[in-house]
Amino acid sequence: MKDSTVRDIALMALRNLGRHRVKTIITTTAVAISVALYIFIDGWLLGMNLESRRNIVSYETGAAKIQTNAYFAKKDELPMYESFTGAEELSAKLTAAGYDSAPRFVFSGTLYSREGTAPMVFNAVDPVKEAKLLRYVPYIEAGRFPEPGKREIAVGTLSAAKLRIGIPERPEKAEFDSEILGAATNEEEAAFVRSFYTENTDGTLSVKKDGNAADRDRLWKLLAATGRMTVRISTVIDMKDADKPGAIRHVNQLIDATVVGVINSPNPKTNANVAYLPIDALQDESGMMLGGKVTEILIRASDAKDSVLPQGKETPERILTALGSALPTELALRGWKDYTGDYFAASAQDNVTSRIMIIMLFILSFIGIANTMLMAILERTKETGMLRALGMTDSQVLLAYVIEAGCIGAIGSIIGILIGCLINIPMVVYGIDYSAMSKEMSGDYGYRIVAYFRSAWNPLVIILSGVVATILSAASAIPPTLRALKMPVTDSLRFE
Amino acid sequence: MKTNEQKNGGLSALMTIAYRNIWRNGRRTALCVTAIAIAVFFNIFMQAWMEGMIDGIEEVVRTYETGHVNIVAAGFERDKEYFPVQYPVADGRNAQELIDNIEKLPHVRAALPRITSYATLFDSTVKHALLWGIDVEKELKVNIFNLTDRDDGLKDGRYPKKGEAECAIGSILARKMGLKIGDKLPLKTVSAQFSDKYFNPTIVGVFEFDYRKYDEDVIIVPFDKLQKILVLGQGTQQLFVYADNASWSAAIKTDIGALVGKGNFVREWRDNYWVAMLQQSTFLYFIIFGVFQVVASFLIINTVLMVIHERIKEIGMMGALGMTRREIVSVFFFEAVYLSIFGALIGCAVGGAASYIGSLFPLDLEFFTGGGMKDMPISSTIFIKFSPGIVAGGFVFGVAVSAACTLIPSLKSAFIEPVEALRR
Repeated sequence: MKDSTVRDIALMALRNLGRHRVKTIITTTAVAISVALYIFIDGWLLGMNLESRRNIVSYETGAAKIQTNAYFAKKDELPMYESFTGAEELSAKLTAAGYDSAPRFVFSGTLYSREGTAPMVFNAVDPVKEAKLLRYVPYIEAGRFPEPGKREIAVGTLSAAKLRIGIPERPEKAEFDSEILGAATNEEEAAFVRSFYTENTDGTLSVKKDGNAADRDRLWKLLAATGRMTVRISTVIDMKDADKPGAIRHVNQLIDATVVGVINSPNPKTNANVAYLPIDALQDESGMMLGGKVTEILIRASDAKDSVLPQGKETPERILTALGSALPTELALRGWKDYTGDYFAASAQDNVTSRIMIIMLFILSFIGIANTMLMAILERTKETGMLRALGMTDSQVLLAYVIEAGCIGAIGSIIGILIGCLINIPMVVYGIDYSAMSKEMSGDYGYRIVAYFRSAWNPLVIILSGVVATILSAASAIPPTLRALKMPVTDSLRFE
Repeated sequence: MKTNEQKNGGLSALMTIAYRNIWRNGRRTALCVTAIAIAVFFNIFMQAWMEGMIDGIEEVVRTYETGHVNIVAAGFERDKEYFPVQYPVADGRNAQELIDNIEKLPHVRAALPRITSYATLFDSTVKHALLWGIDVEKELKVNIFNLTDRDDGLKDGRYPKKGEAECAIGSILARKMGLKIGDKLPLKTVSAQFSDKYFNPTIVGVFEFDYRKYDEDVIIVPFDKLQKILVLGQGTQQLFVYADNASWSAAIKTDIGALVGKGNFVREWRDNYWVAMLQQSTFLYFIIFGVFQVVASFLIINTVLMVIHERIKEIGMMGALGMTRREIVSVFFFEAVYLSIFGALIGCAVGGAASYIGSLFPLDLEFFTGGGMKDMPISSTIFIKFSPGIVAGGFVFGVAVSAACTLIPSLKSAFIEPVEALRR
């Protein structure tokens, strides 16, 4: 076919689109709705998954963890007795290979504050190594992160608010008068405390936005002096009995500690019923009797970027190669994906249901195009006969109809892409606020996002959804055209 | 003037013409019917799924979280996540007296006292659990604890007796701790006077409610025993009121509010965060269903437009032979309605069958949550809900939306001049 012929055929197809304008508009609208919704849903799913994954790696697990095999098998029960020693040697080996590592001893227990009690997961960490490897450490809402060697503890913001620890963000008037203003010992301090808060119309107060760090520290110290930050950890130490294989000994333990910071990071798991305290302060009989034992070592490459998910050097295989024979057989190294089953289940479910919905919608709009083309071709049987009688080949006729259908798809796709992008802009910038749900479920709903679920741009999918929609609609013209072409020319000329 | 008889005869004649017309192009009809069927099927199946989920959540909320109406002290409500026992209902008024008064109210079936508090476990790898103090005998008259098998939920042994130092524990908890019936379960809890209280009940039963939070965390103890241990006097921490019918809860809530007075927090099950949220999302799904139905109706709209264009000569003929504009419009409108009815019927059949088959197979929620979301009040096994109401609703919705969409293009036929049309 010559180029000019193709151009003529394309022009003919375009003009044919205008023959039933309403019909064309309705069909393109259907395509546009499907494409726009697909772009919106895909962008949203991508946005929350990208952010969740980054937040898991940056705030929760690092790129990989070393644990004993026995611990991993029961990891949901936090079996502290399945611990191991020799973390120092492993860390040294990892540092030499260009990896950061952070040892942890994880245990559960109950935290008693002056005002209440709550079950908690306690992470005994090395504050220096933890700060280098994970990113929640700078997200201290008030106070600071615990220092090595001290009985200090940092708690998640949700539990701090409920246990009445830290600086209350929105106290009620009565609570403010008794607990916060009551901490002031003289007039000057009382004036300072008052200046820290503004009164709201609903009988509560809120912390002034412009308060500086020094003022926060001062208020923290005032409140700490009242005993507000003094807490007690009640737990049972489980250890393997050296004399009786398989038996576990239990030792009841109470540990006094001072809350020095409240954590509010973008990953809800760090803000719920979780506390962090220095591992070196828990080694002896007055702590958790660790004697150098840890339950896990977190690993990330020293030069890892927060915005990039673990890959290349950070894959479990590469880390294992770097460790070589240093890893004892009872220990195993697993990537971050093995530790976040709840997120992957929630994400997979949303992914599948949303996509099924959109695909159903796509099917509907393609039946629409098929119907439109079927009618268009049927209606023009006589014309088709005429064109063929005048010397147009079958492939040229087919091309004309395919272009016509493709144009419906293309116009619909372009409009759909435009609308989809327009919806995406506010979704990327602002997102939808799910903080109420996050609070209701104590941050435990699979996704690792605290409040705003935002979309992300996915240019490849945006373009591809348009291309696929165009190709599919072009293809929908083929069956009815082939059928029309089977008719002898003389018959189609006589067709009524 | 036409008589009524003629009018009726006219209508059925129009419908007959419309019905015959849909078979003039089989493929087109097939496509339209398929599109409507897909939309209706989707709507019915999605709704069956959603309602199954909502029913599951509402039932858990009514059984475990709030009853039909829930009464707690304002202080308890503020710190409810940690189940404080320092704030008894109505300032520690005699619970039995309160219950008797509430049970005298109209529509109230029963008022049940309950206490929940945290327990720290000793000699165990599991560190904490929830103590659930309930009047077992009375509870079982009102509530069905196992939501899947619809029975009392007892797997082994029996429930603890009144006043005895006995307990029943959840099946997952029993497995994790490696305990069985006859074992002791030493624990510590904090009383209303902020003092530590030690308790060493004997396990007499293992229950399985198929509600993960309870199977994993809860120790059931007799209400009166826990009341004594926690030094609550004659008071109770919470009251769960059950009505003859869940829909009476709003009225009962008002009555109880007046009865217990200030300083207490009365809520009905509809106030629960999850129930309220799902009610909101129902609206969202309604919009999604609407979009589906409208996109499917686009096909019928197009068909009607094409049909009018194609049969323009016939319209002229019909007009010339004395059919009014209203009658001509009706013919095209009925044709579209037939298409949507056939589509909706097929969609209902397929959607109804799919949701009926789905309703026979329990779905394990673990698969969807991967072990997370323990704070969501939902039974571990959910069923897709099959109900004729959903199928009928899907049919009516499908036909109504499609009919409304096709009315406008059908009207187009009314603007055609018979004389002009005949000449085309």
